[in-house]
Amino acid sequence: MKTTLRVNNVTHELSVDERVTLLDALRDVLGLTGTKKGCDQGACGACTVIIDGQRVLSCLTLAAACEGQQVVTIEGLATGEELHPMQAAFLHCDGFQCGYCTPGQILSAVCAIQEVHAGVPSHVTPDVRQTVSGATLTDEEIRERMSGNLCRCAAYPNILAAVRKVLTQEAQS
Amino acid sequence: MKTFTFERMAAAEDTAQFVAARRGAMFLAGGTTLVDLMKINVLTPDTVVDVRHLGLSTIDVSDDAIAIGAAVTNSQLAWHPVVRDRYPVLSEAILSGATTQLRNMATVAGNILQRTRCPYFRDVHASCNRRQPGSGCDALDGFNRGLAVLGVSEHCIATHPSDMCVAMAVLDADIHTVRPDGAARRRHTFDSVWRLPPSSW
Repeated sequence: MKTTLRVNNVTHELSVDERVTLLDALRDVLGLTGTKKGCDQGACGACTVIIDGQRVLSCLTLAAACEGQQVVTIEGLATGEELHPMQAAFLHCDGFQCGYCTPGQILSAVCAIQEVHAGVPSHVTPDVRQTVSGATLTDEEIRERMSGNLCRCAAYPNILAAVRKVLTQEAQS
Repeated sequence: MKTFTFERMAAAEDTAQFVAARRGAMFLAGGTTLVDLMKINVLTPDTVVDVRHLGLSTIDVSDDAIAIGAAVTNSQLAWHPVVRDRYPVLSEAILSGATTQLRNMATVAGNILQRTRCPYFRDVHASCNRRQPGSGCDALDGFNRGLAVLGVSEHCIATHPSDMCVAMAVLDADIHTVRPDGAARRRHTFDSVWRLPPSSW
């Protein structure tokens, strides 16, 4: 079938099988291999992309269902040669080992911080009626909010440090 | 995955009519269950109808209730300020399951109607009365420690996997559905939508 995908502000007219997931369309049709295929069943978060401002799993999204939506992948995060602050923080904090989960981790972290700025609770927020803030966010909160992205190398302490670094930078600026 | 055709319609009534008239057609909302189960050939629709663009994504607040659109995402509901304030059990229940990515995709109606996560349902080589009525239930004598404690029959020991539904039942939620014949809407009490496994399949 014919469908239109808008990825990183570029519109692509595609002819794809109905069965093709967004993940496979990104990697195999558009050549955007930054988005990774881990479990391919919604458990690991390696395929995380941002659609219309929300982090979602591209392995459980049909490409045909994305018509009219804005998709952002890891390739669309930097501004030219200037890394997104979260990308820079992952580098600075060494927030990875093998790097396979990293694109998903970074996109997820970008959205996690937006969610914190929106004040929304997580499972570990003591009272869902309270509005959380970046300044007082606990490590437990960051870990819970990043729990949709698994890292088989267990680089979690440094991933946590990278997210914390961006939160701190934003609080200072 | 079996081949299928992909459809998207403009109105809820048209979509209900289309799916009701076509054996093998299924609704697609968040896709977190349907796409997953299609990949492993547990569900094999011949037509998939995208229902995320039918204008059912709003939460309407009144003095003594809220009306939640079928396509509202789990995150949208859990994070809504009025839900958090008036019905914190609902926010907490939703936030206790899955991940943010999945909750951003999964819809309220999809959550209610989701398939069991019994591992024997997901294994096409196992006997499962839910997947293939009459084939038997390998889970009854299998690894079933995480399956149902209440409502077990000699035909099925599967559970409904939703945390959100437990909170909805506690809150005496009603479910309103659109009939294929047009404007008439049916109202269901929350616990009337599911039935215990029947005595025969």
